[in-house]
Amino acid sequence: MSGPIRKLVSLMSSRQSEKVKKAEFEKEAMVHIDSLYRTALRMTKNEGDAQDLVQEAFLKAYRFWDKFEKGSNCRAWLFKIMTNIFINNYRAKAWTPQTVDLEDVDDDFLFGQLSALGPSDNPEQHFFNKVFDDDVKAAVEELPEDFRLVVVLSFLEGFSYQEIADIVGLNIGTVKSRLHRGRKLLQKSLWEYAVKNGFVKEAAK
Amino acid sequence: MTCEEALKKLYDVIDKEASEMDLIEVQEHLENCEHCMSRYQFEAMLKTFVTDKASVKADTHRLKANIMDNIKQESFSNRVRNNPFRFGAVAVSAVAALIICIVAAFTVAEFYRHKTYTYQFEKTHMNATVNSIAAEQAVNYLENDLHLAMDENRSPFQMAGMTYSNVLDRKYLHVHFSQGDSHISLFVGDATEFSLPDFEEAILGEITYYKHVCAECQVIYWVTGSAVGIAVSEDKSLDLTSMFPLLRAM
Repeated sequence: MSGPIRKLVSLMSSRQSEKVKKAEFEKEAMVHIDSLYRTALRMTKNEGDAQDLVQEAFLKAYRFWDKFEKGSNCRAWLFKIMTNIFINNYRAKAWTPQTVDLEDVDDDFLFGQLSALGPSDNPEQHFFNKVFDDDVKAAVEELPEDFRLVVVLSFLEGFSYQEIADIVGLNIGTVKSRLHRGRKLLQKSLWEYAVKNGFVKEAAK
Repeated sequence: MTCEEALKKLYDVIDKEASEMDLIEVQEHLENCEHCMSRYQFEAMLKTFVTDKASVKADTHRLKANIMDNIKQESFSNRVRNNPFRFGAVAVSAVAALIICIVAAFTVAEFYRHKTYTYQFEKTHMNATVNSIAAEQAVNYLENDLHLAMDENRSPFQMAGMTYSNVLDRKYLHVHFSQGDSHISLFVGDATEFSLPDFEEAILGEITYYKHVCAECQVIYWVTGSAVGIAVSEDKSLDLTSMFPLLRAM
């Protein structure tokens, strides 16, 4: 009697282990989908590509789930996978060398512009009111890819410099400098949107 | 700390990367320097502003469902692809429905893949018997509710034992029939809980009966309503199908 039953039970157990893996993956990895999708949207700039990118990342993660060190940072691991796919596949589509002229932009560009408007109550709040949600999204998306990636990982996802360095595969110094330059570009761009939306005219009143 | 030094640490502080020492020194400076203070406040506001506005709260339920579907399909097709019995199975599929062949192929493979696996099932349960009242109830349940009863007219087998068992966390009724050296084990469980080799994937809810014969045993399993039955016997000369009234019709 031993043969058949043992085989049946073992057959069931192998199915079971696949199910356990699936359940574990769903619990540990799939919970980060909102976070990955949010970043994918800002990186690819459109919903279709973002969905493909996230999907590809999760499928790859599932394939390599055995390699994931249990207990380590799953979200960072997923971002590393997704970033790799993005850099290899999506960026290649329309990659052009990126030169950015930041000569005329200081660290305190935006702060300086606002201060220069003279004393008024709370110019910052007026400024923020004049930049619409879509403007902010556009300003982020207009950043050259190298800067955009670190800005999104830092601002939107709250990763530390070290985590970003690991995810993107750069040293920490490069991450900091890209983040810094990304910030300058963001300031410049947000200022331009605010001006376009009539901020300076109102502030002058 | 001078203004210049304080502003040098600006982004480190805002990004929460500054060391504790730096943080204390910067804080001391900010308390005494209005200009740097407003600069810090502005940069912090700016970061929060960008973070809030650039993050979208998108509905990812559908995307998630798609991904889980793909994962299911992938792990399923991988198993078929890696299966050494694939070609044999494909040949048979000329006659049988394709889907049944896939099930058969990986079932065969699974049977051999885990040869070393041992389970103490028999040790624990084969000698257990339930009392006669419970046995009668169980037979009624099998016969009337599940239509899984063995046909006494066609089968010389006697019920040798019955027990409720947990295997792999799933509860089912295990009935042991025997006649001489031949044995049949019948497992009965709730189809919604008792998941057989990827029933939902392989069988797609359409096929309710599947027979499998390998070198060492034969297995049939079938679903009636919400119940699933599996009959296993190492005696391959038995016509298991004919012993269950419901299955003869299929």
